[in-house]
Amino acid sequence: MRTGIALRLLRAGAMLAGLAAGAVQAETLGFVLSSFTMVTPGAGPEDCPEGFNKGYSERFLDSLPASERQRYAENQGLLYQAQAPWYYENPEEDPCANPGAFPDPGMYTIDGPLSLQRMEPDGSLSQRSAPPAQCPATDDFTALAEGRAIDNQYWRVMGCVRGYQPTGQAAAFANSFIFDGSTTMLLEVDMPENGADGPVALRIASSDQPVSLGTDGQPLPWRSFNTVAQERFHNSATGVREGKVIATGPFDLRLIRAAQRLDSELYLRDARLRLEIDPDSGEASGYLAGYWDLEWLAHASIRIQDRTGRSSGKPAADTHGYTCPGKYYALQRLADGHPDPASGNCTSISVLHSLRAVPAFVLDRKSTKPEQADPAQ
Amino acid sequence: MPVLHRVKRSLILLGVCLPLSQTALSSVEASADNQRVVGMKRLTESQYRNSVADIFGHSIELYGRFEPDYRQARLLAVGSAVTSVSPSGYEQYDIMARGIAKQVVAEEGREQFLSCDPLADACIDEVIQHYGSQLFRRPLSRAEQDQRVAVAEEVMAKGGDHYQALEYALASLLVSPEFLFRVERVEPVPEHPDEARLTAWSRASRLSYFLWNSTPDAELLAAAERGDLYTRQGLEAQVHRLLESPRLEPGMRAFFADMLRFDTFDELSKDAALYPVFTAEVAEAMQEQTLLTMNEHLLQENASYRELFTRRAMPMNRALGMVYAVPVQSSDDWEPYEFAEEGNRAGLLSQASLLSLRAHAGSSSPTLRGLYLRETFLCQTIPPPPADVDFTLDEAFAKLPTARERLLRHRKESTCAACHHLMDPIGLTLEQFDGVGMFRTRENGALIDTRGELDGRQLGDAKALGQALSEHDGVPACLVDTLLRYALSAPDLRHQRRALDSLQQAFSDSGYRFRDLLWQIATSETFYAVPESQGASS
Amino acid sequence: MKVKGLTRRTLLRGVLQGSAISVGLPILDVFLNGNGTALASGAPLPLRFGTWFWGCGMTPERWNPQAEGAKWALTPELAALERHRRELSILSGFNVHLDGRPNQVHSSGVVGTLTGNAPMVPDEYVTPTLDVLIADAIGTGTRFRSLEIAASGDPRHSYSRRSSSVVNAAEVSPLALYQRVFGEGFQDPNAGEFRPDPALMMRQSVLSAVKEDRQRLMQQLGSGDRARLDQYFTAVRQAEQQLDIMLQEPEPLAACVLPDQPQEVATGTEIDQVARNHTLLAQLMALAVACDQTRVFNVVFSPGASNLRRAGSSANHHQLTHEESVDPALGYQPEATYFVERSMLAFGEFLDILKSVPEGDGTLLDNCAVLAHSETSLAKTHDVSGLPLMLAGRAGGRLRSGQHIKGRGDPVSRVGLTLQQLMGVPVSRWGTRSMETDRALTEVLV
Repeated sequence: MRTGIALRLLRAGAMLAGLAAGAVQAETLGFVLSSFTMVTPGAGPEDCPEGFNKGYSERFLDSLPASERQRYAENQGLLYQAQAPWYYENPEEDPCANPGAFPDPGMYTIDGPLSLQRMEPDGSLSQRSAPPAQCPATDDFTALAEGRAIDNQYWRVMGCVRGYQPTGQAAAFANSFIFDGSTTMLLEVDMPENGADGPVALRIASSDQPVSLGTDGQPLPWRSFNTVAQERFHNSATGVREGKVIATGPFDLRLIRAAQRLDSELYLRDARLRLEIDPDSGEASGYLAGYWDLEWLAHASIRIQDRTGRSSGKPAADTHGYTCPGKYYALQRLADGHPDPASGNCTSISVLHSLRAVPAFVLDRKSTKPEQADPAQ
Repeated sequence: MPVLHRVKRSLILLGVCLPLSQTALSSVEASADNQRVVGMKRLTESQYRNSVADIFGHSIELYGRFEPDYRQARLLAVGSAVTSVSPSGYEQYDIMARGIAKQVVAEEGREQFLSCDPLADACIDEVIQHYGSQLFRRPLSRAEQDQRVAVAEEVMAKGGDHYQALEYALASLLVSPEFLFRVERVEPVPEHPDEARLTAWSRASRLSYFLWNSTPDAELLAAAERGDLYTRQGLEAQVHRLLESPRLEPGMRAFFADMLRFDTFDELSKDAALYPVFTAEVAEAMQEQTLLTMNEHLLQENASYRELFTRRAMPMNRALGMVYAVPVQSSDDWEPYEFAEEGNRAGLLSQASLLSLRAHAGSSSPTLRGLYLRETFLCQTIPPPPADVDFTLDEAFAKLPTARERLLRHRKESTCAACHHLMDPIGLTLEQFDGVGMFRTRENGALIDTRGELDGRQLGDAKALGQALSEHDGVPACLVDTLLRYALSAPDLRHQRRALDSLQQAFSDSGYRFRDLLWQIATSETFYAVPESQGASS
Repeated sequence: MKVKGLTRRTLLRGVLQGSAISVGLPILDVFLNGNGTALASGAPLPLRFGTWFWGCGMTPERWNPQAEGAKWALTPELAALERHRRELSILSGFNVHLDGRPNQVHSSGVVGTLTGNAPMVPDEYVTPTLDVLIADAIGTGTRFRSLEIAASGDPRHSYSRRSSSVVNAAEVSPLALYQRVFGEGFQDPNAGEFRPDPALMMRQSVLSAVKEDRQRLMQQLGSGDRARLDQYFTAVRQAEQQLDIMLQEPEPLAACVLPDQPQEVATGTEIDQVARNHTLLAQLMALAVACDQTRVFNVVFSPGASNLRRAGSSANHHQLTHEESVDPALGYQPEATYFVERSMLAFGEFLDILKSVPEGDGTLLDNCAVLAHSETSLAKTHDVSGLPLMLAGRAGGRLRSGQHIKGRGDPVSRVGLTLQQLMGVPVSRWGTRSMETDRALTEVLV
């Protein structure tokens, strides 16, 4: 971590002094993410034999005799009244703020063998038909993580949800949070000298500075960003460059996940990043796979809490078409990472993200002078 | 102060002498009947804004739109001497005048703006006199004063209170031609009644609008009243004071922007798919960067004008960092930046503002850039293309990958070649900068060749162009010409040939220091001369 | 005199390049009095400002025209406005800049457009909305400073606010609107007594002082500058004539016809019902404006996060924007888009209604500037960039219509600034933080 910052500053300092970078030092490439979305391939015809899950409103309407449905259909206000409250004063009463305290209403998930993209230990993506990943035994997960392909079990949980289909709400929302300035993610790669293959160091950090949008509405390259001060949101990884591809070993990742009313974190454990850098445009694209910590997943994606702690979980669940306890228990059932030593239950679930990034200058929040850089690097 | 010292010496050497007569004659005394108007310059938008801010304070808000300023002979300053006021323009001046006057008499403004209580005897008279002399840049005549008092009385007769009375009287000053135009008057020279000279007030205005782009302050008006502006010592003291004032920098910004034609930035539009970086914020920062660079180089450092074309240091902010693809530490401020010696940018011509200003919406333009450079920095004119240009060949050439190849078309016909050989080879050296000034090495996949030529000198790239310009004698000569025309609002200097030559020489002797040139012009006879066509008494 | 296809700027260039100029700059303001902006006597008709709001935006690929300028082609979601394309300008690519503030869904877009400030919390109006600022300038002489209607049936559906808490509530019932405007207290403008405004008389005395300044100056002037001063004098005289006209008793408002009292109708959120009520309310509103009962009007067709729905459907427009899948073959959400198209249809009808009222040599629409806007572009993601905006009417000849103007990410506050200046609000800069702007849209100003 420390040496990473030092190198970065050294380079920035060198550029400021008007020296050409790259001749003596390894080149550091900086990026800002312009796209970061979960891989949600869409349910196939046999994936959801029971159909899609239903949200609160649909469940309520289903429970009524046909003759009574019409008046709710005609008056949305009436329907919401019947569902009230959407927002709870007391979290104890809120099935979304406190899903584990409520019974499991069931959730349709994709339980059969599934052919979908997974990240192999070498960072490559494979796609072969496989049954759901199992929660492994407590003692060998760490060893297992080294050699195990990272599945996308989260898609199994959400695969029979209307809002998580590729044309649905979740996909549309994903990048809007980058564009509207609520989430900015930075990436830096220390490349081997002279374009050679070899080991690389990567740093991923959050910034609270919005991307700049161009006149075409897309994030602009070459902007300078400061990372946030909180050490928590500075992550580092090491990997190998082979040709155009960079693949990292497992690392833990924490990033700010803020959006509209959401104020949360993304916490992935034993994550791997695969990155391809286009030498012409300087832009990067790739995949991030890892195990999403269930506690933080629930915070960001079930409870959906804002800065005041208020949960928007119930309206969100209704919009997408699921129930909060349903999702909560389905996650427990399909979790495939980091078994708890005491209970043996898995505490994380595999997930795959795709990403794109444009070149950017990653600057530290504190302006340390170049000569203070660590010469050990 | 060394600059001043050097300047004085060269002044004497050159014989750019001021009347040595120490007879301080107050031009107020001279009867208005003897005066003639020899020039009317409509205040430009920035002059109006600055004048109002300097007279009433910066808290005054201006509400309204300005008529577009008009450019003639490459300068808005020249255009200001030929434009007038249209009906819709008057409507806007009227809105602004009433807006200003309302703020002056408004309850919250009174303490700041009014020296007395309008209910008291003679207060309205006093306030009219106070603001009137500043707005008209000279004391009001009896008749002018009486009319404003009459306005106030009429307003009260129609049911207005004292504040409204004052408000309308002030508004009548602000829409008067004596405020909206810089009216320049001449009067007979007391010792030689058959000769004319600019009135002291007109001298004061010329000086302050030249150096400050704003109205004369109280001290300059007092100097005019004392007759100081007719004595060399008195004049030099004022010029020195104006040059040392913080108002010089905003004043000269107006000149730089006028000379570079930055007002045309507002009409500039770039293709969103090709140049997404050209946002409003970036466009504004581009102009600011160039103005800051000129300010820093020419005024703060008083460095040689020639070196402006090779200077590698320029201020940078985050918006521009995206154009130049360089890191910028400060998240909201400008910070110093210096391009590497072996980098590809140096000098004013490699700045994104100039590169964007003269390019098409979807591509660069070696021709437009070459033309701009000849006009702006060499004061040369190139005739527009003939009306009967045959464009049929263009289609075949349009498919070629680089501008160099496409422009070969101009060489195919002698009618084109005659002028284009003056423009295209200059612009081709700048081809590694795209339509918004971002660096590139290829166009449509083909490597860009940046070789070119300026007046017989072969150039390898943009930096060589900068070097060539910095060594070109036409460049400082053009600045002197442009600045003097700006100062005089003159379309040409046919009648000032000799003065121009002296100024050129002095500029060269000073090592091309801009501040010295300002001093030279502001203390020269030419600057205060009665315009040639109006010189002889009728 | 009428010149087609020339902007003032090109015309100007032509004039100036032609010969040495002794005349002033825009001598072309004679164009200002084109058709329909003045009564036969030359007295100007009052200027009016209106807003027309619909909820949940549009589909950018189906709404935004491609070509810029006057040659833009109709797009699927604008098709319903074909007959008005010469009377309205499409503004695309203008953004509410959040500057790091949270996107308050269904609120940031409308508050940002109307106040030039992105709210910190939902429905936070730190300054009055655009229409209130304009009403303060042009609406103080009429019986109602502004009138609001909401076709969606809820009086709270109003974005006309002096502050977060002071809302100009909307009329939702045609009968109630009729009673408020044409019931008790209504004074027929054609029977009223005329009292000249003393402030106008005070302005006359300013002009006489200025004319004497000019007279004195004229005596000292060489021939070269006389023409320029004459030009200035012409401008002053025109201002004087305007004042004279405004001090005369106005001609009767021929278009002011008293409507019959309407029947009470049911309100609701079903789209056909909303469209019917919109027509009834808009007709009454147009007559209220023609009778000079107000000069500022605000129409809400559907609120932000639109609750309009189709008969028999359980999902309303807002839900559909989030819940309906994008049809892979079509590339958009067909059900949600239906409401966008219906909204544009309704706006077209609104313009028809303004046009149906004759005024001077033209119609009421000629003397209006109407801003149509929504709170999002693509509602699915609550996107506040590239907001859909339209300007309709000619504002008495001051507004140039029939164009497509691309904002290219400029702040939407430029639109608000332009409209205020157009309506004579004394403002030179407007908006906060990166939305603060002094750049009016010169493309739409005549």
